[in-house]
Amino acid sequence: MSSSSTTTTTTRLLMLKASDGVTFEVEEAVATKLGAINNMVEEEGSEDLICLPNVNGKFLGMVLEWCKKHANNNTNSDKGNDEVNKWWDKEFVMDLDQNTLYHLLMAADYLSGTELVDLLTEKVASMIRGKKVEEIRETFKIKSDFLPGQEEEIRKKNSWAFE
Amino acid sequence: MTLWIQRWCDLPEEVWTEIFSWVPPDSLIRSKCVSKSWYSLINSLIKSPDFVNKHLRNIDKNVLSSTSTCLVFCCVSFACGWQDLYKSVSVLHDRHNSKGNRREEHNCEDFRLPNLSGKLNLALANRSHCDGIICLANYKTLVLCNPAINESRILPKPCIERRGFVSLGVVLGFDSRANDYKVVRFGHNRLIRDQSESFKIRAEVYSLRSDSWKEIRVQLELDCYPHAGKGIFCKGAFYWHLQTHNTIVSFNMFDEVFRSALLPNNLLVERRDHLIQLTVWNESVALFIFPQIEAVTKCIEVWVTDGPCSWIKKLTIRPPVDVAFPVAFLKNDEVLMKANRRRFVLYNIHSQMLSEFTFAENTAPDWDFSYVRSLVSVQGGNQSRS
Repeated sequence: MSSSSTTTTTTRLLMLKASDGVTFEVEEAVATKLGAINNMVEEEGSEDLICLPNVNGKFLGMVLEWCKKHANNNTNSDKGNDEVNKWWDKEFVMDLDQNTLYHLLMAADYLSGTELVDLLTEKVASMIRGKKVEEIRETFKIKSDFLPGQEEEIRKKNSWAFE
Repeated sequence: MTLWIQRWCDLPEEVWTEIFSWVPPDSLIRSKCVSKSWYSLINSLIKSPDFVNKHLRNIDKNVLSSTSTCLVFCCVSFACGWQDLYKSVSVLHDRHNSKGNRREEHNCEDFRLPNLSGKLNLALANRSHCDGIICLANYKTLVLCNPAINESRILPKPCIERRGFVSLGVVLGFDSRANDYKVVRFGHNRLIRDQSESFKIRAEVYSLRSDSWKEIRVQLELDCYPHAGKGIFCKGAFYWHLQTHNTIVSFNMFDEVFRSALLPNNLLVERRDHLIQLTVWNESVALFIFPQIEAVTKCIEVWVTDGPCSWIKKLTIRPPVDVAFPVAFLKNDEVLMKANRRRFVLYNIHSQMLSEFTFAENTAPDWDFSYVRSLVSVQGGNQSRS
């Protein structure tokens, strides 16, 4: 991934290396939107190559795509910017399949991309919102481990939420 | 390769906590039934003030949910005797189509309050809302309820004696410094001295954290029977407009001082025969000032204050349809107006988009507020938001 440099100021480039060896060249301002990378840059200073053994190249690429978009959108501070970001975020997560969503969330969490974690967790929450218990179990492949009668008891105690 | 397997149950608890902070209360409560670990995590989260607060903040940050405004109207139904009905109207803003052709829809549903004691008559109650908590007050009983988590509670008896006290208003608000929800109740006692009457203003404040009332020192005595408009809460202070006295009275939670300020003469002279109503706009106190001719308002001015006695005009709204009066700003560019007995209009000043809601023939919506579904408990003590 090459960075488009439309700005005149020289920005430092970082090399990020994913678990599968894929490398990405990214502007520092973009990569430091990720808390983990920001910390590494501040602590290690001169290091230009950063290895990320817990993130696969496919998902690191997607995380960086998100960072780049937000870094760009944040530079021009016009009024409708917030709306543009929101619109773009919605597009970004709209067609994610569950597998990609899961791995992307793990990657964003590992890299401390707080705003991206917000977006992805909101997306996961939309898979819970308004759903029946059985549907939620099915979605997340969770088996009920309640003893017989326990679940009924919880339902009874909170019957108003099931009406 | 294990990398490609998704094992949602392996997500760290912190990430599930983030996820749950976006789930509406009823869905969250239902999710307790998914598994033992969900049950114990959700149970501990809804008791955590930090989580409840995060959940509340996320309501405003929603990117994916299209419902951005939820209004609750209280209607009186004439169909089967006088009966209070609550109706919620969810306004759906389709942000996804933001490229030019925005679409707006709304859903109208019955809104159920938690089971209040059958004997309690809250028809004609004074109503106020803050962070998902609704405060209902009749002349002797005050109730706090949070319908989203099915909680309700009758508050301890107010400390101002009922005898001779006439309530002018009750407002609920959040004290961000004390992390406490507070209710302010104000009214007057009629005094007769030397054959002339006067009205002594009295006020008291309830704190959810301490679960008790305290009378506030007020030094204000009026010479004629006062009438107050709907009270508002803004940045730590409660405000009322005493229409009969052209006065704004306020109670600031931080210094606990009750103040009153006359509206400036120039405003009153220039805008004679106009109606004046308090509102909150851009997080500050504002006034709707408008003439009403034969129940129609063509032009609404919005004035803001830059000092206790100084007000300036900031905005003029010209509703594209006939309205009777403005009700409130739901967002900085979105104003709710009442058109006629059963019809309300929501108007966006910038996009000039209009949505209208009409209620059933045999109801009369008389009161409204912008509602959020929160996890904030009304139980008091240390459960307040942090």
